[in-house]
Amino acid sequence: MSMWPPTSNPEADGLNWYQVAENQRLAVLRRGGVMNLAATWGFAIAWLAGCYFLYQRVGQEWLLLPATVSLLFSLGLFRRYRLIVDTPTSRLSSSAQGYVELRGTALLPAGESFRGLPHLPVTVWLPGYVEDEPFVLEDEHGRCLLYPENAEIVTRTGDNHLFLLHAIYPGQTLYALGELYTQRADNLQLDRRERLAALLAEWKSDQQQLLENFDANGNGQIDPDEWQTVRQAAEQWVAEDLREQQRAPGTHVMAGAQAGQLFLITNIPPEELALRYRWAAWLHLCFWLAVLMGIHLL
Amino acid sequence: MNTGLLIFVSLLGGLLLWGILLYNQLVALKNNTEKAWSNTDVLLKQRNAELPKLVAVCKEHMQYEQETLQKVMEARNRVASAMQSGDMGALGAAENTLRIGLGNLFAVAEAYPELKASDSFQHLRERISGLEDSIADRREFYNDSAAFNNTRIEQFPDVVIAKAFSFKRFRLMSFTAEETRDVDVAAHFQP
Repeated sequence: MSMWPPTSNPEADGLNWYQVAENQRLAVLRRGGVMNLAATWGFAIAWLAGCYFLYQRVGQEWLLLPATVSLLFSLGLFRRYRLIVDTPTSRLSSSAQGYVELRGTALLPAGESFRGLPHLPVTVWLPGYVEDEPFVLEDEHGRCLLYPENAEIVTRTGDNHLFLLHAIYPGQTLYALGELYTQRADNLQLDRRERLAALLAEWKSDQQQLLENFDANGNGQIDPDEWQTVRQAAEQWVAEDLREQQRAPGTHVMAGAQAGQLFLITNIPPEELALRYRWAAWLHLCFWLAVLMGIHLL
Repeated sequence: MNTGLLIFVSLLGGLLLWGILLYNQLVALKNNTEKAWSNTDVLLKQRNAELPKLVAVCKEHMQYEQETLQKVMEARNRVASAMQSGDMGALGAAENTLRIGLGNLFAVAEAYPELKASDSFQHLRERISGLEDSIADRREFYNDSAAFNNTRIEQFPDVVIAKAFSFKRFRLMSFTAEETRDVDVAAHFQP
């Protein structure tokens, strides 16, 4: 497959990959957040150029403003670095609850085989197009449903021939940092009486079968005694069904983080991302100190 | 405003913000470790709640193994009291005794075909075995959380904040190699 995709795609519904990449720029910035922007080389160059402009046109004292913002960037980036480094990994077999990190691969939820744009490869998350639908993180022990609506999502391009496109593809390595909880059957609304009523209604709708199963004296109708047996059988059925449901493994969900904590989803290896945050934090800190020293010396 | 004063205020503000950030991170680490412990604690409690049921089922069939059953219950009680006091050292030892006791119980159960065939026994065996696996995972998760906390409060400059605000170390749930070996309940039932 060529590294250089065609500039126009005859199968596209009005949009080719390049237009999609163009359209998703804002969404990538919005979903990644300002801190991730501050950790890019492009931002560093633009930041320095802006500061030089400020120094030339307004005066050196005004450099204290961007320097202070750089200090805040440094603190924010350092916090992210420490969060990635200091949060233990939860295995989905035991799924320790609380603020955890998960590592696994991205998958579409069960029953869904396609997501994204018709003329592009299948994606689980595509900024600007498919942003809020849940997707699955699978590790070797289980699966967790990620609700990305409130997540900060950082993606890298280049895993695909669509090298400008930001997306998470099925099968890609995924890292998630956030509050994990497990939704069990006994956490859900389980109304035994409602289930019993529904089951009895279902049995009654098939009179023939009901008579075959419960008309013990063969008089062609269900007598009060026989109705008691029907009820007991239905109760037993519902009880067994509930027990089965409670025995079933729960659904692991990550949908956010407690106030002040970071909810992060990324297809970038966490070690690489942590290193990026650390270096960016140091660079912003050095910039702040350099400006203070420069103003003092000049 | 004087430039020198601006620089001083900026440096002071930076230092203060850095201190607040470190403090908040240490608080988050402490809370995460406590949460990790409660993650383990809840499973230990669930497992402990299943043990009397297991012993009761076994009692019906194992009239001559009262001592084995008694040992399991005693170990269970020691685990419960260690959990209550939060003594990790005692908990490790009690868990070890309990695991050995359970291993013996399941080994002895081999001699009782009626017990082996019992649905209740099978269900409890699977349940306890599953809980043991989860406990092992969560113990590891707790130890990771505690290790992160303990490392941070000894590192510079975090140690300054940790000492000033009395952040404490968490004891690891450290078991010996013998202790970390999971009770392989299924193995006891191999023909």
